[in-house]
Amino acid sequence: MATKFYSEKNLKFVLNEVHRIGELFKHERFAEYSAESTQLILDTAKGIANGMMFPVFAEMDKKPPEYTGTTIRVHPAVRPFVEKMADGGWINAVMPYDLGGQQMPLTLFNACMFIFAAANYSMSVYPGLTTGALSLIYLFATKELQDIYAPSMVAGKWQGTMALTEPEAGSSLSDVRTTAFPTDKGYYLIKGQKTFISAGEHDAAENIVHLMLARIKGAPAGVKGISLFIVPRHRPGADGKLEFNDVNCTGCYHKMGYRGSPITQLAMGESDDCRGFLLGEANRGLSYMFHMMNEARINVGLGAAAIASAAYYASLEYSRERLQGRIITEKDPAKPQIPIIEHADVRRMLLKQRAIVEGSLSLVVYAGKLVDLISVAEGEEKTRLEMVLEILTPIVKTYPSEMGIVSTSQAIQCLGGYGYSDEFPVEQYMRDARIHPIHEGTTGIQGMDLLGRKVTMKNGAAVKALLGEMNATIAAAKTREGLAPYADELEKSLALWQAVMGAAVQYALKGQIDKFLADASIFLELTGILVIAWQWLLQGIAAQDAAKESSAYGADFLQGKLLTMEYFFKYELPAVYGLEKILGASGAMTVAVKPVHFED
Amino acid sequence: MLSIIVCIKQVPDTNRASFDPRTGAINRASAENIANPDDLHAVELALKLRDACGGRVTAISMGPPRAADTLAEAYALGVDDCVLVSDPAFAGSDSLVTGKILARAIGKLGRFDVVVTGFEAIDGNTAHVSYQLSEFLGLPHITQIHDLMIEDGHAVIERLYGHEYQKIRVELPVLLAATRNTNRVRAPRLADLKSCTGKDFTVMTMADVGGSADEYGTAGSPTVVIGTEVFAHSRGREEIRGTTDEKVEGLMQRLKKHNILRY
Ligand SMILES: Cc1cc2nc3c(=O)[nH]c(=O)nc-3n(C[C@H](O)[C@H](O)[C@H](O)COP(=O)(O)OP(=O)(O)OC[C@H]3O[C@@H](n4cnc5c(N)ncnc54)[C@H](O)[C@@H]3O)c2cc1C
Repeated sequence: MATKFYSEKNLKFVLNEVHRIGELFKHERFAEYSAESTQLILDTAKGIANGMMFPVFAEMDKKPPEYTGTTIRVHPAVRPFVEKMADGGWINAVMPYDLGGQQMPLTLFNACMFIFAAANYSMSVYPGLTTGALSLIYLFATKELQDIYAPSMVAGKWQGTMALTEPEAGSSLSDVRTTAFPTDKGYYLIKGQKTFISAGEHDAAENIVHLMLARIKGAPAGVKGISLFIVPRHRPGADGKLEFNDVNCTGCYHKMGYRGSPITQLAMGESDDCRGFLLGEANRGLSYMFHMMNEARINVGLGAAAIASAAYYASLEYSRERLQGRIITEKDPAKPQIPIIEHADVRRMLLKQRAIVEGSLSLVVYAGKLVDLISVAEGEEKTRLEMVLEILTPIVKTYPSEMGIVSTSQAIQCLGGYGYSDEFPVEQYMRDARIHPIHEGTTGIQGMDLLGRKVTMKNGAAVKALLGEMNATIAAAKTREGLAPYADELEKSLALWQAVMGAAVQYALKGQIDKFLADASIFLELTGILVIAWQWLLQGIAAQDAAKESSAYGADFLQGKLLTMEYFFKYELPAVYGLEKILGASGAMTVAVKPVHFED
Repeated sequence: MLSIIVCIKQVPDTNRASFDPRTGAINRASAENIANPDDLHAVELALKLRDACGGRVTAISMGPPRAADTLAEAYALGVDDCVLVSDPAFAGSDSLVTGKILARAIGKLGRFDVVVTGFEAIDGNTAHVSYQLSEFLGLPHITQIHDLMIEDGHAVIERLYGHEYQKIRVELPVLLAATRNTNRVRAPRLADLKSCTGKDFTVMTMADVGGSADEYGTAGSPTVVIGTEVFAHSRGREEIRGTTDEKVEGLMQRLKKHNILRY
């Protein structure tokens, strides 16, 4: 049975050789970290993943959360896990020292989150959601509110959530209707409904703290009228005891995957007694939420890459053991059958998965490093890095998410019929992976974000910043034997990307915004492939360098890296030519298709 | 206030190491060095004891300078002091000499109430050192520990011994050997992981431990490896037929035959 869900060696390679995490430790902010402590922290994460998470991965799927009418019963392994995370200091690990955190580089923290998500994605989100809610509280809540809420959240006793979505407001958050009625008592009375709220209620926590978007009565319509509130399920009363805050859990969704965490429906203010506490200024809620959107979206990419990693290793193990058929030139049926990994087509499927998993992981780690570098940079350099992060965020979210589905599907394919049965974990991985193109902004929304906002922001400054980074890699690779052809190939594709962008922007210049954005998802797909090709070129450079030193990685691993890079450039990157053709030929024809044309 | 000493060893991760197929010797370059798994349970036992009764835990490791990494891990778990016993003259010591060196080093550390070791190390699997150390120190040696309490100068220990459950009381000082059945090792806190690699530890050489080079290392070690054989484990498939009861019975018989089920 599959026991490996990620490669320690590859994670180390990506952190140390490709993205050189050590550079961060030179900055005062991260000076207390070192190569040695990084290793110990990764080992500790591995221990938690192996000891508490992976063993209940399948069981949490088979015994999903149960709605009892008032609360939701979750798997009994959740509470001790969250306690362990709290005790270890994981919930506030990335917070600064003066807030009691460990000021851990996000690069390292995300590497650990990758391990957790690969071991058991559903379980990993419980503390992760609290971390997200905490960062908003630290950024925007008054000291008084921080003192009430943060300690119990850091201690893992209170669950944090992000409560944005409503039945009529999913992708379109400007349509949030939950209303906050002002009172003269220092709080607002909240009334409305939320839906799809992850961990919005469960019995592994003593209290739930919702970071909720609502509209103050009389606020302007649209995004400019949305405010951010703390809305606890239980509020601390005058005597310090918790009293019910009129947040009712009205249901729990039954989902195709990611079944270990409860996704809830909430009704606030059914008895007109739901108090909400405003964070920051009124009507700025959405922009506050966006403060942590980059990181939340990186997290989705990370989760997707992690699930695909686990599926890849399960299929790799199986492919080494399953005996089926003989080499194509062997005609003697008396000869024993061979492991399926000996078949070229199976190796192609494995390479595809590896290319997606390791390409995505490299991008996710790079995005974390950008966040860290931004936290220590100043002036123009800071702006430049921010631009790179802005334009990459929809790609970091989407490439691993969309390709995670393809990758986990390939894992199933390697196992044939057994992969389709629940005797093996790969079918669960594919179901678990399917959430990622949906939450934290669907792929469609990411496409529009990339083309409609990021490409055009500050007169193309983000595009320029990203091209600068990619061209530096191309220039470095061009001087290297064995890598120059790939550098040329990437350079050619970048030229094609710029041409495609130029053509799309023509629509915008003519004021045809509908046509400009009609194929934004395809533009995003094309961009994603280019960006991952760039990450593979970076890995190729790092593999060559590591091979020069007598490295701990071993020749086979490094050769495998270079071959996977080659695979990506030969089998995946050429898709950009097809996508470019589509974008050129489509003429955004979907704009002209009307709902009536779907008649029958 | 208890003075607790815990012995830990750095070992190659034999679960993932490769072996020379001819000699059966472990290819040390292929394996990462880790803290010996049983020893982490020993550290956990020591820390629990300290947390319950108060006192200090000192981790001691005999090995080359890189064994300091393992001591850093012990710091991260929460031990108070660390001692590295390291000298070129100690290289190649067998289990008997290792026991002797550790006993002498521990003797120099002052008064102690409890010494804890792992039951066995995954690189040699001899499980000798713990016993030999107890002989050198003249201490009672307790294994198979499930639970432990300290009461007025005595340790009260629950142990599962074969198919017997024992509760024993033994006067301190005592030597305890831990295994993975003894407890669950805590995960270190991030704050401790971050600071543990910079902490100071005491180094003891042969000059501190006493004795002369001919007592230690290969020269002083009586153990001689006269041969190594590699076992090939092959997998087989077997079908048990019959009614459900017969199948269960057949399965039980096989499990007993292979010593997987014993009683
Ligand atoms: C398992 C799970 C967990 C979740 N957790 C949370 C949570 O913790 N907190 C929270 O607030 N929300 C959460 N959500 C909600 C999630 O963020 C939304 O489902 C998501 O934003 C999409 O909204 P929707 O479901 O209403 O789909 P819709 O917005 O109705 O979208 C349906 C389709 O239409 C497309 N579409 C919509 N609008 C446009 C447009 N303007 N242009 C082009 N295409 C468009 C979308 O891309 C999509 O393909 C969760 C959802 C799930 C399934």
